[in-house]
Amino acid sequence: MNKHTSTLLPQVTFSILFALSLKPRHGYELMQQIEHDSGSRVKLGPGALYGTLKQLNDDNFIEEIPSEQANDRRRYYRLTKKGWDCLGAEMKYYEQTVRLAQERRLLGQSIGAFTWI
Amino acid sequence: MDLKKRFPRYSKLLRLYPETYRKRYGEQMLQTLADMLDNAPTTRQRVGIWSRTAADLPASLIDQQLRHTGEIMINETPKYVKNSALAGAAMLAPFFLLVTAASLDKNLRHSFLWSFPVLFIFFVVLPVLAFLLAATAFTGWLIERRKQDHKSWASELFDLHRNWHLLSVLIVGLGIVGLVYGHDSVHCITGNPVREARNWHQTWQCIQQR
Repeated sequence: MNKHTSTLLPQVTFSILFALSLKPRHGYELMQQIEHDSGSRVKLGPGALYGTLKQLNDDNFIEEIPSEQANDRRRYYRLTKKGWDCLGAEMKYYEQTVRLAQERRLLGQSIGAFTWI
Repeated sequence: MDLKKRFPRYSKLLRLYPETYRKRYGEQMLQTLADMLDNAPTTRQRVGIWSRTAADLPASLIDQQLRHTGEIMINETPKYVKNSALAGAAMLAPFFLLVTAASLDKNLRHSFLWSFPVLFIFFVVLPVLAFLLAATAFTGWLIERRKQDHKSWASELFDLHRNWHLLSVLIVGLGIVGLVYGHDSVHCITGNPVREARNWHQTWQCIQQR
């Protein structure tokens, strides 16, 4: 079993899979989508992005597809079935977490030091 | 425009990545950097992109080099090389354990662990054996790889991704023996196990003659 299926994904890995759930994207598009999805909290450099893409590709979570335009040197990435399964499992976990947070009335409230005491 | 000409320094830095990674992603990294800069209208944004790229590069380089080394270790290294490196490292461990223990507990120097035969084994015999084992495995693997890869001896010899474990054992083993034999401060603490052995051998010969 791959490590990604048994444990929670690292933030960057999750962000990439999440960004690819909309449509196949190339490197720069992925960066933009990740920045947008995270509210500018996750900003990747090319090194971190392609390091993670390589890992995801090696683990068969994503696959490379050629560009549809003739002179485009960019390579596009899309989720594989394994990638979709992994993202689905991850989303279930977050769904459960959000449900718990709602039950505990944690959403929409400021959780400061006073609340914890 | 050729991206290597547009970013000459960055593309030179990309050469520090493992070859397989560079061939697969080098051009895409340049393309992505070009896209980022082309879509950044202000100087401030461009400075931000370069800062992010510069900060991202060292961590990514180290990560990829380590991963590449790990992949070679798992997939390409023959079992006898792995075992030799492990056995060599295990043979060197007593030296470091004993020196560390003796520096933490001075009383150890009056125990049997700090007596001649034990020191001789830990400080000389085991490091020499580790060195010989690593040297044999290293030579064998070098010859084997030369037959397969058809690369020069020099490039095989300095291929640190493949050789680092055996070279470490070789260097550390030789270093320990050199240190024990040559360094005065070690003699003050331990006596010189090599000279002790020579004296012991001479004494033994005298005993036999009589």
